[in-house]
Parts: sequence; structure tokens; C-alpha cells
Amino acid sequence: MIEQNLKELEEKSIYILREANARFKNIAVLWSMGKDSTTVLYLIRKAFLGKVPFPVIHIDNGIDFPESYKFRDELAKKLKLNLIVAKSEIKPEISGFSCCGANKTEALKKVLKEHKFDALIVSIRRDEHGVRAKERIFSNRDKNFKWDYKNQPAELWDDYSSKIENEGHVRIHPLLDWNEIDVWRYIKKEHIPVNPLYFSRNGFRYRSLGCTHCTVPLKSNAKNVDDIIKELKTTTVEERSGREQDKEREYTMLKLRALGYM
Amino acid sequence: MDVYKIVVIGDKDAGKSTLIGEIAILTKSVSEARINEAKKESKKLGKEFEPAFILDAFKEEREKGLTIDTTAMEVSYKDVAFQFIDVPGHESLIKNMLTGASNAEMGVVIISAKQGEGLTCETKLHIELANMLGIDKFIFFINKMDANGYSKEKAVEIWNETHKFLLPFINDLKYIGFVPGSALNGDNILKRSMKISWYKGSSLMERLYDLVKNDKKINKNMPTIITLQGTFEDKIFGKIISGDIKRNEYYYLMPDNKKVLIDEYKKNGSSVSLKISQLDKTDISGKVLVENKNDIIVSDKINAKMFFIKKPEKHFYISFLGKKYKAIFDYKENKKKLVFVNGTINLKEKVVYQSVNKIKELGRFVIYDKNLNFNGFGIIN
Amino acid sequence: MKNDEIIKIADMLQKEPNEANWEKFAKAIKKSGIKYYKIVYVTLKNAEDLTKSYAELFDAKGKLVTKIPIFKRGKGKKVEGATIYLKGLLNINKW
Repeated sequence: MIEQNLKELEEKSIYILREANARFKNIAVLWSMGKDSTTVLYLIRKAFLGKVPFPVIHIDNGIDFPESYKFRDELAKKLKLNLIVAKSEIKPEISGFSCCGANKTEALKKVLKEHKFDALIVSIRRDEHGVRAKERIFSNRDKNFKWDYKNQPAELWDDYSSKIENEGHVRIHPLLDWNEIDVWRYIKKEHIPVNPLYFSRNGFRYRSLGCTHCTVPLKSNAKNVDDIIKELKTTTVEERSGREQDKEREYTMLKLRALGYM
Repeated sequence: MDVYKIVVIGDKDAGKSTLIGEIAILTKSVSEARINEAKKESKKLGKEFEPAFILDAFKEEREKGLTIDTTAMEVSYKDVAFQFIDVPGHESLIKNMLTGASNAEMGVVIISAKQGEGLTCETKLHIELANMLGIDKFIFFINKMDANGYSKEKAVEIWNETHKFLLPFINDLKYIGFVPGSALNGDNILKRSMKISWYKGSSLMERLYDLVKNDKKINKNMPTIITLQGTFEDKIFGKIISGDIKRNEYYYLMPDNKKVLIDEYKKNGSSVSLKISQLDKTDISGKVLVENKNDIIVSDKINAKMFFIKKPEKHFYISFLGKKYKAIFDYKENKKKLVFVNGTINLKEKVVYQSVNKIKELGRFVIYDKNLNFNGFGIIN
Repeated sequence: MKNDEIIKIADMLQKEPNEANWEKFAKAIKKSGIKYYKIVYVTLKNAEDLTKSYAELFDAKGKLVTKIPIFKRGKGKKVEGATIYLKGLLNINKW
């Protein structure tokens, strides 16, 4: 896995976040207590004088890991976050997917509408999955959260001129150019707190976090950030092989994204 | 590691995706899992293993053998990393091609040596666009050499034709290289191939490596220029695009022509946070701080070379330094789309700009039509 | 025995996983010797399926102490997730 220049990655992420702040009136941040979205919170602090000046949304389906809830409450207090916990229901399945996909979208739509958010900062990375490689830094969603992946706007140089389509919103992706190993290297460098689920207990750890019903741990003895970085340098297992959802075809995932699931 | 972005241009049938896939496999930059996944996909679709399947993430792309959007493939080679950006060739997907090419530093152009293929109109258009977007180093990979027995004649023929095409803008190019090979058979990609004995140059990857290693960045004492993004509490955010920031030095806010002093600043590389008490409550969007007013031009008229996706109209918008401006352009010709035009656009207010060859960030803008739909871009001469 | 109370509350939760019992559980878990948990789950097709999933609770030595449901029966008999009540415990799921 290629290790990029962290200073340059950080610099660009800060630029992107500040662009978003200049262009949108009502921004919110999506947080899942995972390593990527937590890193985004810390990048936001770097960009905005040590503060997180936007509301932080946790879409809670009620069956997240206890460690995640604890991590959430403690960090929200420490960083004085304006935390919005939006409860999502566990709904009947949509196209073979249960739990995570369908119900989170509904809850997110509701929160966005209620608070009139016009932009959402989301922590996806291009290297996570083939489909996510198609995203733009500023990406439009229409009011039904549909992502017209076949007809994306152009994004030239560092011009993120945005036009919100019909009551939709724009997704901001400050981590798009980061690799998995870059995130961990940055976490180490900046001493960013980490959800304990990432560390090994009992010979197993979680490499990626969904909720209790769709995330499977992997065999590992990595007990801290250094161990994880070492492990990433030597293993080639696709990150999300621990998540049940991704054992399905990529195309289905694309459809879910087009429907609005993050 | 520094990652060098390389845009890969070429006709759909020239074998772009195959080339990138093959590079990824040969340099061992892609996991076994991903290769196996691609093999499974190939089998399901009744095709022989396609290295291209390592890239394309869209179902439609795989099944039709057509790239719809950009894909970035990270490859490590010796002590350097490359990001190969595969862009779609089809005219209707030009927006995606422009996006992919705009952030690349170099271009690899793939031309098929197979009879009936060769340098296509589409490829020519893309080379010109890539150059206009800022790419001035190209390596031309003449692919499918295996289709005509690795013949020298065919390669030279394409070589000459390409060179002829490049002549009108050869002065804008810093480097042109040619490598004959075969993506499917791995000839001249990683290592020099014995099958192309008449060719004495290095392989594609070796060429790219030499190019990046020899890329010297001129570090003369550059004048300070800071583009401004917006405000937050009592601070102004911006980006240093030239020179460096010095405290207790006077800067001019342009186009306002206001002399200011920077009280405090905090840098994260080129992203900067400033405290300028004189500018409290001033609208700074689209504006620029300069050390020396002579380094920039202030005007409401811009002479530019522009490219329009759809027919240009008299009234449209440009996005320049993050701000949108209404533009008026007296366009006389009648071409329908994919138009290159040189002309003067008039704005309703003065802006700060510079020739793209002097300060690239101040010499380029995005074009939107009157409904704010993307319609192209412009370069200031 | 240290874990008698939590075992009693676990039984109550099995019969009646309402808010009141969950609150009792949250208080008791802090005083008990329970340290780890494992989620045993089914593929959820709807909220009701959550009643089929459960959690196993273990002490510091890794010995199974008791089992509890991981849902809450809210107002109007609606099923909601309740894993938040296990805050403070550590996961030892495998595969």
C-alpha cells in the first residue's frame, strides 16, 4: 500500500473543508465513530482553529457496538461536539440488503430535511472500494439522495464550484485521496483517539466498522496503531472483507450508493 | 512517497484499460484477491482474462467493455508511486475525461498499431485538451505491436503522423517520447522486450520513472501571491500559490487595491489562516493578496483560449478562483459543440488574473452555461 | 455471589425487555464481574428479527455468566436495538 505525503494530504483536506465552509450555509458532518470519520473530525479542528463548528450526525440503528457508543459519548464531550443522534429503524430489506443500507438512508434524509443542511461532510476514500473510486470531491445528491453516477459534473483542478440540484445537497469528501495506511499514519502522528474495536483482543480485531449485525472480525494480533500500520504493510486482504455487505456484488453496492446509502 | 498522476489517453479500442491493468499486475501493485475477482468476472462474462477488469468498477463498463468514468490505479515502481487515471474516450463523457486529466502531471497516450486503428480524431482532441489543461509531458505508447509482427514500418508511420499533429503546439510541450509495445503481452511495459529488437529505447515504466526523477522544480525567489477562500470568525482562509508569507510585510488586496498588513498567520503547507484587522467584514471571495502589483493583471476583460462542450453563447458564467462571474462573449461562428475558440470575454467586475504560463492558478477558469451547467474551460494567454 | 444480581436481571430482560429493566441492567452491570460480551446474531430482515439475536456475557476469566436479549420493547410494542446498554463491556466475537 502506497504511503503518501501526510503534510500534503492534510493541506489539501484543509483547503477542501475551508472551500465547503465558504460555499455552503448549513454544513453537517457524518460520524460513525470509525477511524475515517474520526480523522475527519480532527481535520476539521485543524481547519477551523481547533473547533468543530458544524453539527455532527450519528445515524443510530440501535445495534451499534457498545464500544462505539462509549467512544461516541466520551469524544463528543471532550471535543464539545454539537452531536445529533438520529435514530434509524430496522426496516424490511431492500434488494437483498437488510439493516445498514435501507434504514440509515431514511433517517439521514429526515435529519437533512429537518435541519435544512445543504452540505454533508463524509469520510469516504477512493481506495476503499472500486465503486467509490468514481466519486468527486464535491458530489451532488438530489433530494432523494440519488447519485447520478453516469452523469457526474466535471471537477477541474481545485475548482469545486457547486450547484445544488433541486433541493438536494452536496457531499464533501475531504479524505478522498487518502489511503487506508495514510489514515493510520496520520492517527499515529496526531494522536487521534481510536475506537478500541480496531485493536486485537482474543486474537481478533475489526478492520472496518459497521454495526454488530454486519461486521465480522479478522484474525489479528495488532494491539495498537503501530501494530496496525505494520500489519497493513504486509497484508493484502481487502479492507472490507470483514463486512458482510461487501461479499455481495459491487454493482449492488453501486445501486445502494445511487439510492443514497453512504 | 510522492505520487505522480498520469492521465492515460486513447481510443476505446486502443487498449488503455488493458495497459493500466497490465502495469498494475506486472508491478505487483494489485492484490491477489483483486486479480482473482477480475478473473471471476471475466469468466462469468465468457471472456478471456482481461487485465482491464481490475479497473472498471461499473457493471456497465465491464459488460460493454466501455469506461464511463475515471478510475485511478495506484502503482508502485522502484521508489516512486504513480496514479494512472483512465479516462473515458466517448464524446458524451468528455466532462469525465476533463476531470481526470485536469489533475494529472503527465500523459500517456495509447495508439493502436493495428491496421484500421491508429491515431484517431478522438485521441487528437484529448491530447490537445490535456495540453490545454496543463499537461506538457507525453509518452506515446504504440500498442498492439503483436498484431503486425512487431513491424518497425507501422510504428514509424504512427510516430510520424503523431509528430505532424503535435507540430502546431510543440512549443507548449516540454517532453515527447515514443514506446512501441503490447499491453496484452506485456511487451515494453515493465522491461524491454526482445520481440521488438529494432527498438533501442527503454520500457514505458522506465521512461516514466526517468521523467519524474528528472523533474526539477525551479525554486527561484517567487513573488508572494495568496488566493482567498473565505472567512471564519476573525480569520481569513486562503492558499499560497506562489512565494511564501511574511509577517509584518505589506500586501495588496486586489482588485480592491487596498494595502494591508498581516497581523498573524498559521500555515498548513499552502493552506493558510490569516488575521488581517483591516479586512474585518470585507467580502474577500475571489480576491487575491499580492506582494507586488506588477505580478498580476487587473481587468474586466480577459483574452482566452476556450473550449466549449456545447455551443458557446453570448451570456454564460465563469468560475474563477472559487467565485462565479457573469461573462459576455461575442461569439460569431456557428459550430455546434466541442469548440475551441480564441476570444475576449467581458465581465461585469474587475478580476485579478495572469497568463497561464506565468502563474497557472491565475490563468485558468471553468465555464458554465447560463443555467450553471458545466460547459468547458478557458486558459488565459 | 458477585454475579447473582446480573443473572436475575438478565432473566427479567428475557421475559420483559422494557426500558425499566434495561435501566436496571445498566446499573447492575457496573457492579458485576461481567467484562466481555459476544453478539450472536441472525440476518435481519426486519425489526422483529432482532428478538432472535442475543448477547452472551462473560466474566474476566472468560467464563459464560448469562445471556441477554439485545432489543428493547418500546412504546406501541416497537422493537428497538439496545446494545448501548452494554457500554463498558468489551467484544470478544470471532469470525
